[in-house]
Amino acid sequence: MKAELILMGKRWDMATQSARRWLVATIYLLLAAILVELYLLDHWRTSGYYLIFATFLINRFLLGGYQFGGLIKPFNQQQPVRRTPPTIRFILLFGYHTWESEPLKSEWHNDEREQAQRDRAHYQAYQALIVALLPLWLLAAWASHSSPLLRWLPIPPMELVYGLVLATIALAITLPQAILLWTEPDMDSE
Amino acid sequence: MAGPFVAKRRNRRWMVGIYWGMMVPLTAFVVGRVFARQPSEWFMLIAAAVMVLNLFTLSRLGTKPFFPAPMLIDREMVAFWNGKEDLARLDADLRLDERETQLRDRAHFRAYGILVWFALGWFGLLCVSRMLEPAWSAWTGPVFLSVLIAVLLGLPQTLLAWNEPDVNPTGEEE
Repeated sequence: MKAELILMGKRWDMATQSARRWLVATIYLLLAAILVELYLLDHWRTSGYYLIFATFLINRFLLGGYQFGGLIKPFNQQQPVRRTPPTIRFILLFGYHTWESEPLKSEWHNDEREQAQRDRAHYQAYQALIVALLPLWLLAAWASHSSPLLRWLPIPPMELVYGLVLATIALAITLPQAILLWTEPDMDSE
Repeated sequence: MAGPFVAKRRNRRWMVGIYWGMMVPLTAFVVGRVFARQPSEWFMLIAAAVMVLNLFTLSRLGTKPFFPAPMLIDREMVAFWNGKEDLARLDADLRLDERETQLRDRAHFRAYGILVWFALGWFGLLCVSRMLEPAWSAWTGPVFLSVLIAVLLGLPQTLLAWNEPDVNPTGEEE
């Protein structure tokens, strides 16, 4: 796990547990806000996918894990693919610059302890996902029956199920990293 | 892992094959009912089937329970029939040692990776289906959840049973 995050050129100290917990809480609040905003926009009809794309960006720039680039090293133990440097024309057109240098092995390779932490975080995330999915499954069943139990809901039950499925996918892609960031103690200052 | 039958990896792989051989058509049947807009009993059916399949196949695979202690009802039954001493022995037998804990966590890591790919594949399918026929979105949630839960409940155990090598009578791996 990295001790600092470089965002928009600024270095953020992430060595303390409290800073990482703030980051995790902010990310999930942001995702929840996006989900609500997208519902207000068009009931997730065409915009629901943006939540998943937002999750990819969060992994790429903040969390890491399933993508190279955030605080957590890649889970798959594979060296990130070296991208070809973008052409000058591409940079001028899009003002975009991809990462191009060869990363150090310590930036992507998990040692034995880190692998154990990674596996444990996935075990915990797996249990959390089962607990979260069972009521959701029940809700889907009631929604497909048009059950009177769901009449009090302010939005149509099937729309709610669809939104919760989107949220579940976003959660599944980020939860192990969030558990690692949340539970790891403060790093040594040496 | 314990028991002469499940000590052989080949036997365990047969059991895993039987489990998924039953689970896949069952899930397909339930999904078919959702497609046909007859969702009356689909969730109860799959819930019952998953529980029965778990009971009769996964519990026979020999993997210890993933939680530190066995189910409360099991403990009460053991204490009732065999006394408290037997319960203490059972707890000791079922406690995961360090290596087993590592194996459990690694199995969940692998299962989780498969599920993430499944969820993303589903998401891709959803994008395409919504473009082709927006009305399909009505069943995507229930179908996704049915398949996901069917996979979620059995995947780590079956991965563990499939991958662990043969165990000889002294308990050591061959």
